[in-house]
Amino acid sequence: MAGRPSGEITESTLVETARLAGLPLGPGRVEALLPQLQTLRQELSRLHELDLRDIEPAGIFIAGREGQNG
Amino acid sequence: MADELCFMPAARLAELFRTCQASPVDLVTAMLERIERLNPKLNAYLTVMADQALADARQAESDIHKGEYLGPLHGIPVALKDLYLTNGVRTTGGSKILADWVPHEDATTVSKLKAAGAIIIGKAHMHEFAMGPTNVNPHYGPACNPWNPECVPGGSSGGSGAAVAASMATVAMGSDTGGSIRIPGSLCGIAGHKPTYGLVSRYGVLPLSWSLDHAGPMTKTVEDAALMLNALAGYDLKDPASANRPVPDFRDALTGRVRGLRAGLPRRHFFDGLDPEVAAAVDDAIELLSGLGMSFTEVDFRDVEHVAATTMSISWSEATSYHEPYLDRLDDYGPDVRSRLELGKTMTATDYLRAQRVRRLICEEYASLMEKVDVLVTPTIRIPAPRIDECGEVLGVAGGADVKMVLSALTRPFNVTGAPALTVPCGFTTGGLPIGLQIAGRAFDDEVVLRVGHAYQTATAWHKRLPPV
Repeated sequence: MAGRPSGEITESTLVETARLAGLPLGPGRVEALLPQLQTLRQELSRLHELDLRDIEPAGIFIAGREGQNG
Repeated sequence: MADELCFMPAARLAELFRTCQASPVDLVTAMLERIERLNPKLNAYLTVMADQALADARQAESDIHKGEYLGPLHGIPVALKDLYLTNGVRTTGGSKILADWVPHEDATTVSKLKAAGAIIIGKAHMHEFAMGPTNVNPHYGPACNPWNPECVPGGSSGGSGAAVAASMATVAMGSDTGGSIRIPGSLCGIAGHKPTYGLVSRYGVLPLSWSLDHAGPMTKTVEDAALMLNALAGYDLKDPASANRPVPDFRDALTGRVRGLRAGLPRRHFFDGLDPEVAAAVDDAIELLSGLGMSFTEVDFRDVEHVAATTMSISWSEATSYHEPYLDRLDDYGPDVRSRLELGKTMTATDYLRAQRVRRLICEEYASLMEKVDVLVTPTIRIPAPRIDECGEVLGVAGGADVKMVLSALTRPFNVTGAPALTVPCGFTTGGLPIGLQIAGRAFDDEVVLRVGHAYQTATAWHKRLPPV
């Protein structure tokens, strides 16, 4: 789903995403997860509004740099 | 006298122990009686280490009488959030998955506390695997707030917060990935310090999210937090994030002098949607600090609105990665944690890296902002402690947001930046619930943050109030 900031999340996209992720979805899980995944994707889509050209990811496990964690 | 010892901060007890005017055995005995009486009501502990704690207290007393005093934590009872590994003592992480797990080594911080003479009195309750801010736990029941047992103590270090507030421990250890030291600190009316990322070892602390996790103290006073930090801070080869740099004496930093320090007020986001009583208490605290000689200017923490999505992406991805070995036991997780892990499986590498790139933007903005001021002063949480039965609900504050998001909205930014952040009690609601003030600083400037908190406590008495239990 990367690169799909505004794509609609439906039952079928959830099932397909879970299948690709190797996540078994037992009884009731689609109903439980669908609204949460829709909210999550809506939140994450806001990060696509930012201009991140020339911005490298923050590194993890690099302590000691003044003023930042990465 | 023994009962009175339970209510004293570590700094006061240290003076009494050092001069043999009080006994660690009397303190631990009285505290264990208190735990026996109150734990059925508050559910602050998952494991009480009564026999070991009493044996350690006798040893401490004997050593002190022989003149082998180890310092201000000698003989002081400590509660450990139940994600700190303890050699020979079960460490559940508040989970069913690890319900019977007994580690064969101590966390680095636990070893350091023991070396300083502290007495581990028990393992404190927590939100399952630290993955939530309420401490409503389907496996062990909810921990309860000593100020009103119908309310949450906050989380995920809720047992630690309740234990210190109810004087069932003198000090405690918490961990903080999105606010889990400061949220229960604020809701329980105690001090909670999230140190700078890299200052205190995370080795032997069950991870939630490696790049956001911090270990730190929860105490009755800021002075006690400084004493704890003196024992805890320092380079640890076993923690890949540990900073190899000199460690100051944090207690020496508590000079009481804050005149001339510059404080920033990030009104946007941090002062939006506040409960009116929280807003009033924080305004009063700002006025008081101003009277002590601090200057206040309004500042804007740009990109802070992206913190929620950034931390969600990072912490859920990292948590799911850590939990991969257990994902064939999804039915053994509580509903909220299970859903987070399942949703974490749907995150992609590009989702994660986008969030880490946004994180760099946020860190750069924070560093730039902190060139203009020495600390930021904000509320710790927008609301006082919600009732336990409200915790699955959407609240009518802050745009009708989910209670869990409301609880962590003001604390998360300092996990993303790794900056030090402290909560101290700054008032009470008319219903008798504590309100917290958050003080955040520059990376590795924990001394200044603690100095401001200590100066505030020297001029106020909120931290001296005791809950009605």
